[in-house]
Amino acid sequence: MTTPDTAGTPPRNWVGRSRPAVEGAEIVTGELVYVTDRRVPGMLHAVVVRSTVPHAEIRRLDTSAATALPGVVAVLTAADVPVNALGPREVDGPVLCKTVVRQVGDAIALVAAEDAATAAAAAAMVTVDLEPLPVVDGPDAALDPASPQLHSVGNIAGRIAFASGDVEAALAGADLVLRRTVHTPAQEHLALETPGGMAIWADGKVTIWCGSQNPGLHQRKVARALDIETSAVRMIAGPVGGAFGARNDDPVPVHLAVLAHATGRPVHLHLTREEVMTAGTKRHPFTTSIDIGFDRSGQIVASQVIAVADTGPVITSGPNVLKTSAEMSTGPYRFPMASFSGTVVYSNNSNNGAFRGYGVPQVAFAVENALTEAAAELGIDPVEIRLRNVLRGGDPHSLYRHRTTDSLQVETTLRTAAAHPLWTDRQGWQAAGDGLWRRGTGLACAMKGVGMGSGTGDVARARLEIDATGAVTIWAGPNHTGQSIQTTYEQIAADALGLPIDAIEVRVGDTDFVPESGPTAASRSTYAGGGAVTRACAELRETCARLGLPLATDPAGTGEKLVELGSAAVEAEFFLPSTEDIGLIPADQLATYGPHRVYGACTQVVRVEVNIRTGELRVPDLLSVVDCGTAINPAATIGQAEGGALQGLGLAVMEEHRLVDGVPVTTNLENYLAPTIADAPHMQTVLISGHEDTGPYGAKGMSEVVVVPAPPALAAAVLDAVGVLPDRLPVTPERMLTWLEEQPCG
Amino acid sequence: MTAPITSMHIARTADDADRLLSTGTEAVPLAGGTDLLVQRRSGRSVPAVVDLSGLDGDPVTRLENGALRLAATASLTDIAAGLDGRFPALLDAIAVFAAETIRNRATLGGNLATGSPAADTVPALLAADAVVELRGRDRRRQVTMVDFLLGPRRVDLRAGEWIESLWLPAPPGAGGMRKVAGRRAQAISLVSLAWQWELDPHGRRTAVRLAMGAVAPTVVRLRRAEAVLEGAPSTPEVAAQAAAAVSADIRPIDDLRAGADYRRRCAAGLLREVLGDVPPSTPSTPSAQIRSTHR
Ligand SMILES: Cc1cc2nc3c(=O)[nH]c(=O)nc-3n(C[C@H](O)[C@H](O)[C@H](O)COP(=O)(O)OP(=O)(O)OC[C@H]3O[C@@H](n4cnc5c(N)ncnc54)[C@H](O)[C@@H]3O)c2cc1C
Repeated sequence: MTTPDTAGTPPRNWVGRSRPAVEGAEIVTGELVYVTDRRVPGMLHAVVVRSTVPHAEIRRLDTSAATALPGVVAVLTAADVPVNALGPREVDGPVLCKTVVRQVGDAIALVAAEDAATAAAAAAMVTVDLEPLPVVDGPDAALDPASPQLHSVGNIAGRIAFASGDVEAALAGADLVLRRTVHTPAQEHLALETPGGMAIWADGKVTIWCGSQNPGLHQRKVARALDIETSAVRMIAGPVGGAFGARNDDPVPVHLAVLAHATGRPVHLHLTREEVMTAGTKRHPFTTSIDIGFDRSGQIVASQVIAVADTGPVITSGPNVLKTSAEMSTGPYRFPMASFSGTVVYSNNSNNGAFRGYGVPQVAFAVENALTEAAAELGIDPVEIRLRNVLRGGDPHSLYRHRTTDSLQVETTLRTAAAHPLWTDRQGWQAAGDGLWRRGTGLACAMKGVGMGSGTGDVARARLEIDATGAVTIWAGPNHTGQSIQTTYEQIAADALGLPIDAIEVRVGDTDFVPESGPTAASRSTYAGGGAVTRACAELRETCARLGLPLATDPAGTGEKLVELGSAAVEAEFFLPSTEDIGLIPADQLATYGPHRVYGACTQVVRVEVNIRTGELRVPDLLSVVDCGTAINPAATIGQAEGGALQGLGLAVMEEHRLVDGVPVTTNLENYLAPTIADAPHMQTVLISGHEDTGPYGAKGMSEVVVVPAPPALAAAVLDAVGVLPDRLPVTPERMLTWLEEQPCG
Repeated sequence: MTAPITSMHIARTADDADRLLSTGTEAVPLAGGTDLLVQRRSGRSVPAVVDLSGLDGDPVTRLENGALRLAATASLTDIAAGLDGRFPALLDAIAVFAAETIRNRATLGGNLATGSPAADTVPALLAADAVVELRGRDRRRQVTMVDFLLGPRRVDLRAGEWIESLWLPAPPGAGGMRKVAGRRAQAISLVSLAWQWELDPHGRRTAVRLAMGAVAPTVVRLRRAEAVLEGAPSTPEVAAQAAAAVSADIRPIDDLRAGADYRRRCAAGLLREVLGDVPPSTPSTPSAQIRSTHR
C-alpha cells in the first residue's frame, strides 16, 4: 500500500504525513505488555461464575465448598459488593446477580485463588439453584404484555420519535413508494485481546489495569460499587488489544476492583473467548422498516423509518444507539420530510452495546437498499439517484432541519467513487464473469456524526508540561484502544508547537494524570482529543510569546525559564461545537436528539461474484472513498478505513451472533465466522481532500462511517450480479441459494 | 479448565509407536494436534499421548503401476509437495484445508481418525478407493475406506492401533475436490465433493467415483449418481439426472452451520457445477430483473 501525503499547503512537518504507531515496533515484536499480560508476585487468579440459563430466579447460592477448597482466597457474591450496581439506575444491572439472572453468562460470583486451576475448580464447586423463568427471546416477546417484565420499568428500554411533517400525506403524492423491512444481526466486536487485566488495592486506593474506552466512566462505576471516592480509583486503561465499542459497557474493571478490594491482594482476571462471546456485548440486532417515496426523477419525497432494536437484559447503550439511528435514518440525503420512530427493548438475549457505527449500519442498510431499488425501478443510475438527493455541506438535515457542517462532502466521495475504474468498468467486469460465478458491482454511501452531538456537553481535555530540557509531555484523551491515538496527538502537538516530534511524548488512559476527556467513541478522538491538544499547545505558545521566550528555536532554555516561573504546565479544553441552527428541535430537547454539526462521510464500491449453484459469495475488490477533512496520519486513517470496511463486510456476508431461546449458540470462533485474510477483498482507499474548520488542522472523525456502506454496497452488487436484493444480513450461501431459487437466473 | 496431559512419549520409529501405544495405558496418538488440542479444550480428557509427528519416512511413495502410498503421519504440506501434481482431488482438498499454519501440522491420519463427516481429505481418499494401513504391536491390518468409516466420530481403529499409511491405486488425471464453506479459510465444510473419472475418446465418463462430505453420518460415495454418469455422455440432461440422484445417497442434518435442506440443494448444485452443467452467462439488467427478497 502506498500511503498518500496529505500535508497540504502550506506543508506541515508532521500533520498529513504517515507515521507508524509509536508502539508499533513493540506490537509486532510481541514485546508490548498488554493489560492482560501483567503479572506480579503474589497475584491471585480470578474466575467469574456465570449463569447457564437465560432467565431464572436464584433460589440458593452455596459457596461453602468452593470457599473451603485449599488455595481459594475469596468467593464473592452480591452481598460482598458494597453497592451492587453497575450504574445509577436499576436497568444498568448489578455487579453480581442476587435474585435473578437475565442472560446466559450473567455474573453471579467471583472466585479468587492462588492459581488459575484452583480458581476454576472452585468456580465449578459454587452451587447455584436456578428456577427457570419464561424467556423473553426478542422484541416480539418483549412487547407482548403477557411476557415477564424484566425490569420495574417494563420491557421498553427506550423510545425515540420525531417527524418533520406529515409523511403519509407526502407519500400519497409520490410516483414510487417502497415499503420495505430489513434485518441486521447481532455482531461480535472480536477485539483480539479478550477483556481482562489486573487490579491492586493498596492504602485505601484501587488501581486497575484494564482496557477501557472511557476510563473516567469506569472510574466512577468502580467508585460507586466500592462506595469510595473517585479519587481513590485509578484506571490505567491500556495498552489494550482492541475495543470497537466493547470496552464501553464492559463490567470487567468493576469485577477486578471488587476482587482486589475484598482480598487486599493483586488480582488477575482474563475472560476466555467463549466467555466473552457468551457474556459480552454485541452490535444491536435491528428490524428496520422504511416507507420511502420518490418522484419520477428520483428525488426523495419523504421517508418514514421504524426501527426495533434488542438491547438484551440491561440498558447499556441501547437508547443512545437508537438516537444515532434516528439521526441517520435519512441517510446522507436532503429531502423535504421525514419521520423516525424507534423502540429498544429488554430481552433475555445477549446484552448488546456500543459498537463501531453505533446504530447507523442498521438503518443505513434500509435506506441504501431503498435507494438501490428505486434506482433500478426508475431506470436511473445508482450514482445519479444519490447525487440528485445528496446532502451538501451546510444543508439542513432532513429529519431535524438542523444545519450541517460546511465540510461535509458526501457528493465528492460519490463522484470520486463513480470515476474510479471499479465503478466505470462494471460492465466489463460483469461480462467477463462465467455462467457459474455471476459478477456484479454495487455502491453505497453514508455519513455519520462526529462526537456525542449538540447539547450533550461533549468535552475533551489535555494537560501539557514542558521540562527544563525542553521535553514536552502531554496527557490527553480520548484513550488509545488500538488505533494508536497517541501518535496522532503527537503529530498535532509537534506542528502546533513547532517542535521536533521526538521532543513530545503523549500519555493516555491513566485517570491519575489524564484530565477527564470522555469516551473513545463517536469518531471523536482525533477531532475532540486533537482539538484539546491543539489548544493546550496554543496556550503554551501564547505564554512563551507573552514572556518573549523562543520555544521553537530554544526549547531547553524556554523550558528552563518556564519551570523557574512556575508556568511550565498548561491545561486546555475542547468543547464539541453545537450545530449553528438547531432546526426543528426544541431547545430544551437538544440533548435528547443530539444532532451533530460535524459529519464524516464515505462511499464504497464492492465487487462480488455469486455462485449460482451453491450460493457462495466472494468479494474480490472494495473501494472506500473517505471524507475525513485533513487526515492527520494518512496511513493510520487508511488502516481504519480498511479495518472498518472489512468489519462492515463481515456483517454483510457472514457474521451473526445467534441464540436459540435466549441461549447463545455461536460462542467460539469455530462457529461464529468472521472474515479471514483470505476473505478480505483487495482494498483501495481514497482520502479526499477537505477541511473541517472546527477540527484540529481541519480533521474530523471517520473510523465508524467506513463500516456503514459495505453491507448495502454488497447488497447492490448482489442485485447487479443475480437480480436479487438481499434484505437480511448476513448473506450466507444458504440464504443466497434460497433467493436464487426463488428467482432463477439460468 | 482443560485437564493436563500428564504423560507424553515421542515415537522415533514405527516400532516405538506400536510399543508405546500398547502399554495398556490410555495413551492416544498425537500427530499434528490440530484436532486433539481442540477436543481437549472442549472437555475431552487426554491424560497420555504418543507423539507420532516425528516419524520419518517419505510422505509420498510411488509404487508399481502408479499406485501411491501416503504417510499418515506426514503434514499435509509435505504430502502436497510429495504428490507433485498426482492425485488432483487430494491436492485440491489440501489447498482448501484450514490455512497454511494448520496444514503445516495437520496429517491425513489425524483427519481420518477424527471420523468427522466433514473431514476434508476423506472424500478424495474415499473416491480413490484408498486402503487404510493400520498397525499395532505384532499386528497389521488393511481396511478399505468404506469399511473404516463407521459413523460420526467413529472409525474402525482398535485399541493400540494407529494409521501408518494410505495405499491407493493410480489416480486418474481427471479429478478434483470442491469445498463449500461459510468462508474461504479456517472453515468447516458445509458440503464437499471429490470426484475422479476417465474420459473416453467420445467424451463419455468411465470409472466415475464421487464422494461427498458433511451430508451424512460419514463421508459417502454417491453410488447412484456414479451409476447415472458411468459411460454416459456429458450432456446437461445427464448432469441433471445425476444431480437428482444425489439425494438418495445422502442424509444431511440441520446443524449450526447449515440446514439439511440447503445441504441437499447445494449437494445437487455442486455436482452440476463439477459436471460443467452451468448456463451461459447472461449479464443481468437490474431494472428489468429486480426482485426484492421480500414476500
Ligand atoms: C483452525 C483449524 C482449522 C481446521 N480446518 C480444517 C479443515 O479445513 N478441514 C478439515 O478436515 N479439518 C480441519 N481442521 C481439523 C484438523 O486440523 C484436521 O482434522 C487434521 O487433519 C487433524 O490432524 P492432526 O494430525 O492434527 O490430528 P491430531 O489432532 O493430532 O489427532 C486427531 C485425532 O486423531 C488421532 N490420530 C492422529 N493421528 C493418528 C494416527 N496416525 N493413527 C491413529 N489415530 C491418529 C488422535 O488420537 C486424535 O484423536 C481444522 C482445525 C483447526 C484447529
